[in-house]
Amino acid sequence: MPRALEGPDPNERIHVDRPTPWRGKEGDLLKGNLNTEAQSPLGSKALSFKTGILAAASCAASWVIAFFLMVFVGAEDLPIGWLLAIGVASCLISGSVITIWTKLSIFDPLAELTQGLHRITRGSSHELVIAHKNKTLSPLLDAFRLACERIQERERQLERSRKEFHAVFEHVPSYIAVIGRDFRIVEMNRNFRDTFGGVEGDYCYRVYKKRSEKCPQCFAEKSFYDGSVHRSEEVGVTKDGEEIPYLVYTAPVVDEGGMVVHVIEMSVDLRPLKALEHEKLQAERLAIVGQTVASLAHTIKNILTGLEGGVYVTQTAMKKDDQALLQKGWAMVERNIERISHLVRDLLSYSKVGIGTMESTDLNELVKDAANLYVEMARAAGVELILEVDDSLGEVMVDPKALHTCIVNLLSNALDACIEDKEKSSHRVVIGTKRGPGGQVLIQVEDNGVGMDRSTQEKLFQRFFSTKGTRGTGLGLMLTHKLVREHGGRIWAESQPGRGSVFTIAIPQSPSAAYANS
Amino acid sequence: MAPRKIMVIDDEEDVVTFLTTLLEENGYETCWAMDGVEGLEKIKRERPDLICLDLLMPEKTGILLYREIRKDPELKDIPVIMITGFAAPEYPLIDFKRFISTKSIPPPEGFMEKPIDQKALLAAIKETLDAKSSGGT
Repeated sequence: MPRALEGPDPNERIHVDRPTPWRGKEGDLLKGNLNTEAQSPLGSKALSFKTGILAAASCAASWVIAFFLMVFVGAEDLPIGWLLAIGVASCLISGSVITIWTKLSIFDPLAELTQGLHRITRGSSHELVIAHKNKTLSPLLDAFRLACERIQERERQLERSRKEFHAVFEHVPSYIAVIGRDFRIVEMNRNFRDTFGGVEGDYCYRVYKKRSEKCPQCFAEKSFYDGSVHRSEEVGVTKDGEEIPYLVYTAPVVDEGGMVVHVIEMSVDLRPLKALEHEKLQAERLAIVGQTVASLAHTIKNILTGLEGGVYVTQTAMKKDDQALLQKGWAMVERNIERISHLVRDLLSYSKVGIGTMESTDLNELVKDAANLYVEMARAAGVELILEVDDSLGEVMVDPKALHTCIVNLLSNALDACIEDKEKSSHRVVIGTKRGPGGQVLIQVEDNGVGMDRSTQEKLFQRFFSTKGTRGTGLGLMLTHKLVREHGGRIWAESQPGRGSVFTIAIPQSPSAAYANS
Repeated sequence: MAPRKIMVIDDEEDVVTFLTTLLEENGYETCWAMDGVEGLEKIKRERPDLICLDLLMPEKTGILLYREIRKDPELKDIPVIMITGFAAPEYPLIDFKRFISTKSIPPPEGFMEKPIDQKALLAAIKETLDAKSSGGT
């Protein structure tokens, strides 16, 4: 799984989960966090209440002072009326002093602080201004001022990232849609809206693919289910009805409790890539045509040389009435005419033959049929033809005609390699089928003929490459290669000079793999 | 004057048959080889007056054989006419004429492309032999 598009850690994406955070009003966060019961302008009721309690406390303190005066000053002789008067007076004086001091040095600055905090919370001010200069509360006020500055700095940072995120979300050259559990689009970026149309609240399948029901294989659903990122190539329909290939990544958005609440679908338009691929293919085709024409010209030149030579030798022999030379010259003419007919036949088959109808085919039967064609020829050449098939192979989706051509080509090459070898006393060709890795089936043709050196092996599947001199056109293996590739398969050779060769065709057993590769 | 001896080295039997017949009909003595290894042996044995050499052959190519001839002090003065289809299909962009000669090795005396133009080949052979004999005297 490629990591690049998986996105940041889900915990970092939590903010996407909130409804449109980048559209929130300035100060939302502060309002949410600092909103207390003190919604009245000053919180004055609470303050008055507290002031009263303090006054009462100072009153009680005055009575205690009056009592001590009586005991220690020896005022027991004073009439009770005086004593009461002194008590009340000292109570009033001390109560007033304490009340005034408390109000000025504590409650007023606190009220102003509260007011200032509310102003900041409302957003009408950005700075905590306190007019009162008071030593007792100044550390508290400083702490509040610092806290406010920090909060405001964080808010500015948050706002900046919010704007950055918004810019990325809107203008990234991809389609982004946030999907809810009900498959409705919660959020989409501009690119998405411009391409697919639709509005927030629409079903994703309607907007992406103009379908009336959920897609049979839904990758967003997979991400909701397993909480991981999935990737898929899809074809959507734009708002103008054009089909558009895209690569989509579905990334889950997890809430604080670990539940996937949304899935973000990030898609890339594959049209430019497909166009490039198409151009590359065209360029390659043109290059192949060029090479083919050059190779063809070379082959024809060689044949022409042989033909002209044959004609010259024949004419000379007729002039001199030399029967032996006449036979030589005529053989040259015949041989080169045969080369031309071979070339034309192979060229025609190469241009015509392509992969046809795929059918469920018994490969073993196909191999047996092809081998039967060569039984007589092998016997005449003294080559043992051995069949080794895996009976458990089952049926394989192939174009039987095309694959038959491939097997016949390999068999004929193997026999040639044996006939050409003058070193060994006995020769054999083994053709077989077996299972390969990754659900592939293998067809192998093995011979103990002349074998090939490395440079020959490298050129095996090239156009017009032949080791058979005047007998080969160099198209057989190239054609085989082409057909195997069209089946989504592979062909390769292993060989050692003087020891023999093994050619292997590997074909995927399931048709889907074949189509995917072709 | 004894007939001049010309050696044909080509891996294609048809070309060998054609060229030897053509040359014999035009008054030359011929000998031939069908690959580079056999070719070098026969050149040493037969000492031809001129060699018609195919460029691309299996085992030892005409290029390698040409270099060996030019490096051998006894063989280096034998004129060579290179014969080939203008380029091998595997190497369509290589200019073989430039490839053959290096600083220490001079280019061959002649260069013929397939299909072989009989008159042009005979003319080239005559010209090369004449130049050699006039230079030698």
